[in-house]
Amino acid sequence: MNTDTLQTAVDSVTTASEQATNHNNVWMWIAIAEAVVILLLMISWSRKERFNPVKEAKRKVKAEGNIDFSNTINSAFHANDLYHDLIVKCHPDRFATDEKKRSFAEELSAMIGECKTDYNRLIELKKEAKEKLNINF
Amino acid sequence: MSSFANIWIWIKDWFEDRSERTKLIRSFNKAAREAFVIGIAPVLLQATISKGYRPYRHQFSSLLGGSGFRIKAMSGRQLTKDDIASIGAVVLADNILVRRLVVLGFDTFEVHCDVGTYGCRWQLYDFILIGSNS
Repeated sequence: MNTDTLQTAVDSVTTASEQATNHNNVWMWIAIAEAVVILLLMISWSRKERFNPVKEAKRKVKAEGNIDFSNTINSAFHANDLYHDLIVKCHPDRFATDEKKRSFAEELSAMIGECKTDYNRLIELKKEAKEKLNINF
Repeated sequence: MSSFANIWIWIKDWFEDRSERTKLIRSFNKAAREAFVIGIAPVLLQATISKGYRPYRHQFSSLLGGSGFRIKAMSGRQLTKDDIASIGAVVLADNILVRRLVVLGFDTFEVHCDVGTYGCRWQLYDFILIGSNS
């Protein structure tokens, strides 16, 4: 008698817990569905093209390419010396007798002045000076 | 709905900018380390993000987090004003780098050394050359 009652109680408890689990499962799936809908909406909103001048400016600047930091660091320590060396040796007054060289030296001096903090560019100009003005550095 | 979308876009952009800033700092530090190891640079430079200087703020300035781009020269001695100015001048002469820094939310550029309390500070916005392509 006692065993039967106990078994009945166990069965009823089990049934109740199963029902509760099923009930919870339904709500869990509803929550997941809601989360998916919210996520999809967020993605669709983020993909919408809206004209934003700030964002556009950022995009343009970021698209300018990578920055050569090794040149920046190199320039910080060596560009100044190279600039002074070049500006003295490529001075147009040193080529007063040769008109062609003098005009080239004027152009070169202007370019040297423009990129006095860019080491790589100064090296290129040095090569040009060696080739076209026959300067020994 | 649209305000929620704007917030979402703002959050996304903020994280993108943070990522870009970290990449920039990391690439600078990598280049500085390599230059120091090879012997090109006599001083090890280290870039960090600092708090920035409030009066230098501009439209792109970072709201949360630092808005200062700081370069620390590990010289072991007090650098002269000319040394610090020459390091600063090279960075500020690079228009692409300055534009990139401004767009990524930096408004202050600082250079100092690891010894002493002396350093230099520039407002980045002053060094953007409008209409310049170089």
